[in-house]
Amino acid sequence: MNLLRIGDNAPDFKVNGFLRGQISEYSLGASKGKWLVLFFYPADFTFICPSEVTGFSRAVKEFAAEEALVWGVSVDSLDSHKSWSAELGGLECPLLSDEAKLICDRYGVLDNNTGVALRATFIINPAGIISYQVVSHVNVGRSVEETLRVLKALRTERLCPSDWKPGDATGDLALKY
Amino acid sequence: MSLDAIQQKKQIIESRSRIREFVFGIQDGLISTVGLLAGVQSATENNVVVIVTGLTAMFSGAISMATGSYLSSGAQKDIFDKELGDAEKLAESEPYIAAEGLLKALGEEGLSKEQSYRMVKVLLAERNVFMRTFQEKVFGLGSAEINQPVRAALVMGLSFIVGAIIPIVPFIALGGVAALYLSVFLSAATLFFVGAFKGYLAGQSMMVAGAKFFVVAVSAAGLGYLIGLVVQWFFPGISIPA
Repeated sequence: MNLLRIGDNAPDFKVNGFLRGQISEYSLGASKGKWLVLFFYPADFTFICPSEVTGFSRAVKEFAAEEALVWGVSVDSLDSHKSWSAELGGLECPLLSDEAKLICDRYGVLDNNTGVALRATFIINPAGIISYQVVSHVNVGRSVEETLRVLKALRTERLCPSDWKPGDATGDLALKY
Repeated sequence: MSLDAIQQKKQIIESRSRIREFVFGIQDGLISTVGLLAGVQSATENNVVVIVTGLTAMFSGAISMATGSYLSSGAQKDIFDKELGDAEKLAESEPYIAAEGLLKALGEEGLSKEQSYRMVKVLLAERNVFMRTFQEKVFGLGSAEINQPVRAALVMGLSFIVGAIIPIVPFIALGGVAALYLSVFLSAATLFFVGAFKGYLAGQSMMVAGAKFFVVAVSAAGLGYLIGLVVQWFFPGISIPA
């Protein structure tokens, strides 16, 4: 299992995913030129993950406004993703099926004890470089808003102080970083 | 099977859960009393002493066994109730974890993830139903109703009396060595019938179940007698009445 660091090339992958009744191929190469928010979650049909998946789904347009794609990944099958999307009332972001667990392994987020993905989020820049990553305890859901804030901060390509919000000043040496 | 029949079956299962106390009490009542009576009869050859000793042993044994059963069942129930309470607290303080636990348990029983999820979702809408299912499937804590200390004590005590009275009756009717032989015979026959009855309840061969019960119980009594002989061999000054 790899341990990825900020600035590393994001590991490539090519798998099928499900979105709005369609099964399509998704690869890192295809996302080049756009920001990519790749969020891993443990499994379909659990009571902990739905709020995150639906949260990212609801925010797809806001991410798109930042020229970012949002893809969810778990080790579930495409059939499972199809049923899970329907159960959640339809999703606006694709769910990638990593049944072979290759993506989870390459991104270092495969929990060997349970055989499922950890709760991890990566933001990959348009050049395919890892710009942000976070892995949280399985009990703690991620903040979609925070992911969006970080993406916006990254897109300024400037120094952003702590708790920076869109519209705040950037790059000023007088700011506390 | 109709719904009424299912309800009746449930009551039968609950009533038959007392088979443990019934078998324990009757077997102990028989074996301990017949052994005691044989010893007293051989030592005293006095029928009244045998009967009084037998009745005393019967009542004291029944009280002892009943209280023992009450205390042990009560202890088991207290632990069980505590575990049920802990499981309930966990489900209330960590509902997501409880739901995930039930999801996993249902999956291990053969349901798909999707089926398990839908089932748990339905159960979550009814707190009490979810709680009972969670306690049973995740912690293996089934119905606590089967564990009733007072009923267990009554069944144990009465079974002991039934078991003990059988070897005493011949001494009331006959007396002497003939009574002893009849007492042993009736005790052995009763052991067989208790085993056969258990076989009937359990849907097994009554002959096989009766024979098995008879062999185990009589072997235990025989083993006790052999131990007595060994003790006599080591301590030759102490004699067992012939």
